[in-house]
Amino acid sequence: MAAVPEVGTAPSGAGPAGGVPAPVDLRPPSWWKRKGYTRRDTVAAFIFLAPSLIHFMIFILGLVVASLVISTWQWDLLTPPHEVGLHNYATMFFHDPLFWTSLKATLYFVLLTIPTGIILSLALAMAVNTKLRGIVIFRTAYFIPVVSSMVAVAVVWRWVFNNDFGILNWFLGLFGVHKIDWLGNPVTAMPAIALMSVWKGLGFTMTLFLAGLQGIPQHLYEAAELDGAGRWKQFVHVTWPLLTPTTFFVSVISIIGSFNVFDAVYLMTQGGPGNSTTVYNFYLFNQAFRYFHMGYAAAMAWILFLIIAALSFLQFRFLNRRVQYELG
Amino acid sequence: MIRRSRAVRLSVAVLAMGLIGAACSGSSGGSKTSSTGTITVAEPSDNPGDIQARKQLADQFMKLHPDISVKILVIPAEGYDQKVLTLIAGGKPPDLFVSGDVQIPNMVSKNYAYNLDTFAKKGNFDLSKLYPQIIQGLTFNGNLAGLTDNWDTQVMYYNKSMFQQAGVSPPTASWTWQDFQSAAQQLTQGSGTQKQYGAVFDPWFAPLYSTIWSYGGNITSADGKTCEINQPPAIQAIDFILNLYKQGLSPSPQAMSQQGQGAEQIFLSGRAAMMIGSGRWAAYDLQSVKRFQWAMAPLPKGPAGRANFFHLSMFAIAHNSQHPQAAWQFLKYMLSKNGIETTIGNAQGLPSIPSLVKDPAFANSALVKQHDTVKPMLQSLPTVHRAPNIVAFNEFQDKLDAVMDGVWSGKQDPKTALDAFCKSVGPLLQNGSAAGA
Repeated sequence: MAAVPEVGTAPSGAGPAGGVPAPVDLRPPSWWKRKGYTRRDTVAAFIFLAPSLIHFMIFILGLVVASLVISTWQWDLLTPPHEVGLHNYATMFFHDPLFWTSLKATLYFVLLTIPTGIILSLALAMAVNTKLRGIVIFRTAYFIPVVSSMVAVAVVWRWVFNNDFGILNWFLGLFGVHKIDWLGNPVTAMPAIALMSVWKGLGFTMTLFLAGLQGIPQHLYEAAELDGAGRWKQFVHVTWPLLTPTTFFVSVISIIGSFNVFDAVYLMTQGGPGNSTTVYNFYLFNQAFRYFHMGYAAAMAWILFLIIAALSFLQFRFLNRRVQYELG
Repeated sequence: MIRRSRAVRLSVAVLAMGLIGAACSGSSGGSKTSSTGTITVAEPSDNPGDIQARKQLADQFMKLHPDISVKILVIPAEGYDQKVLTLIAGGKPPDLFVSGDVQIPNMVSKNYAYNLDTFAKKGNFDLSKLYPQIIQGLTFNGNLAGLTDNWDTQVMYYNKSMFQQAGVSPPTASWTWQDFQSAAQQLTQGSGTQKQYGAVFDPWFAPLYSTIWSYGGNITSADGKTCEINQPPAIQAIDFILNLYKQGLSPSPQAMSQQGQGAEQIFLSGRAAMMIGSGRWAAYDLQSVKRFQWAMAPLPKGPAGRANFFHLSMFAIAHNSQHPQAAWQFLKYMLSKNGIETTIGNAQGLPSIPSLVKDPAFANSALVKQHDTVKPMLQSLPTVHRAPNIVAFNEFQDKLDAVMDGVWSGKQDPKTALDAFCKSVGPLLQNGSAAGA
C-alpha cells in the first residue's frame, strides 16, 4: 500500500555550468542530500536522535551482544562464569531431550493457534464489518480480552476448564459428552491452552483484518456484483486478494507471538502434566531462573531467535510474492 | 500488566545492570563487617503467623540492641528461592534469609551463605544446645548452612471419629504400611461423589521419599552423584503407593487434580480417614475443624523401619551481607530462650531446643493443649531423613515430577519409567547440571 520511494530518479540539471564538465557522480544521491540537508543538519539530527539511540545501544544492542557472549558461558550468577565455547549449543542439540520436547510442544502450539486464529479473526472481522447501529459495542467486546491482564484471564479460564464445575464441561455435557479434565490430561492440556490463547488474541487480529476490509473500495464489490458474482465469488476474487497484505502481516506477527508463548503456560499448567505443555520459553525460563543456567538459557534464546528469523525470512520470501499491495 | 515475556527480558536487563554494579563493588563487600547498622531478613509470604511473630521478635531485639535495626522483607512465596538468589547474585542481598532443606547442597557448593560453624565457634555459641539431628540436617560437607528455631517432619493425620464409627483401632507408633493398607481397606466405603476414602496419599516428594526410605531404598547415592530411585526397594515403595490408587483406597493424583482439591482439603472435608502428605503445618488448618475429631501419628514403618522427611526451614547469612555480625546477633537472639518463647506459639514445628518443649509458651499453645501434636513428632525425631544431597535439586525434581505424572496415572510402568529417568539425570547428578550450563 505504501508508495515505494522513487529510488534511482536522476537529479535534474547535473554538472556545473561552463568549462570542463566535472566528473559526474552517477550514483543517485541519497534522499538526505536530495532534500538539501547539510553536515550541520546531520549533526543536529544525531543530537536529537541521541536519547533513543543511546537507549537502543545500551538496552537493546548491548544486551543482545551480551547474551551472545553469555551463551558461550557456564554461569549460575553466583560463581564466576567459565568460558565453554559452543558446549551449550552442543548439549542442547545432542544431550537434552527436553529441549526437543519443548520445541515440539511449541510447534504444536503454533500449528493449533495460527490457522484457527487467522480463520476465526477474519470471519469475525467480516461479521462486524457492517454499518449496523451499535456494532461498535460488539467490536469493543471482542477487543476486551486483548487488553485484559493475562493473570486475570488465566484464572477465569482455569475455571472454564475445571473438570467438575467448569462451564465447558457443563456445556459439552448437554450433548452427552463425558467430563474432560482439560488441563490435567496430557492430551487435552495443550489444545486447552491454545483455545484460550486464540480467544485472547482474536480481538487484535480481528481489528487488523477490519482495517484491511475497510480499505477495500466499495466500487469493486459493486462491479463484481454487476458481473454476476455472488457473495462467495466476491470474497474469493475481491476480498481475499486485496486482504493479502493484512493476512501476510497477521501471519508473520502471529507466528512470532505463538513461538513466544509463555504466560499462558506459566499461569495455567506450569508445563505439565508430564511435560506436555513445556513450551520453549517456559523451559528457557526454568533454565534461567529456576536452575540458574544463564549460559544455557542465553543459548536457547539465540536458537529461538534464529528459528523465528528463519521463519520470517521464508514468509517474506515466499508469501510476500503473492501479496497484492496495490490494485492491479 | 506487562506481558510476562517482556517482564522476563526486563528483569534480565535489570539483572545485568545489577551484576555490573556487583562486579564493580565486589572488592569492598568483605571489609564492612560491623555489628551495627540495618539488617534485612527475607521471609516467604506463605505463613503470616511466622512473619507476625518475627516482627515481634525484631522489636524485642532492637530494644536490646539499639545499634542494630532489623527490617523484615516479605517476599511472595511463589518463586521465593529464585528471588532471594537473584538478590544475592545482584549484590543487594538480604543479610539473613529463610531457605529450605532441599537448597542446602546448592547453598554450600555455590558458597552463597556463610558457614555458621565459624560464627558459633567465635561467638561461643553452643550448638549442642540444639537437637543433634538439626545440626546434622543443616550441615553439608562440613558446612553449617543455616540455623532454625523450630523443626518439622512428615507425619500422618487420621480422622478419629471415622475410626471409632468403623470400629477400627487407630494408628500407633508401631504401625507398618500393611497395617495402614488394611485399615484403609476397612475404612473405604461408598462410591461416586459420596465415596469415603480410607486414606488420601499425596505423592509429592516429601511423602514419596519417606516411603522409599522406609522400604530401604534411596533417591540417590549418599554423595548425590548416582541415581538410585530405580532400584528394587524404591520401586516396591512406589508400587505400594500406586496400589492405594489402583485399589481405590486413596484418590489418585489425577482424581485430586480433577476435583481441584488437594489432600488436605479432602481430609478436611471428611472424605478420607487418613492423610499422608503434610508435616505439622497441616495441624494449623485442621485446628478449626469442628465436625470431627482428628489426631496425628508417626508415619507407618516399612520393611526398613520408619523414615520421615525432615522439614528444616532455616535462616542463613548471605555470603555478601554487609553486616554478617549483626545478622548473627539477631540469629543468636532468635535461638535464645526469649526468642523461641516469642515465636514458638506460631511456629509450624517444635522448638529446636529440647528443654523448651515443656516451656509454657509452647506447651500452653492451643495446638499442643487441644491436640497432641508433640508426641508423634518426638517419636519421629530419631528417624528423620534430610533431603537427598543433590546440588541441582530443582532440576532433578522437575524432571522426576514429569516422569511420576505418567507413573501415577498408570500410563507408565514404574520400573521402565524410572530406569529411563535415572539414565537421563546421570549427567545432571555428576556435573550438577544436565544442560552442562
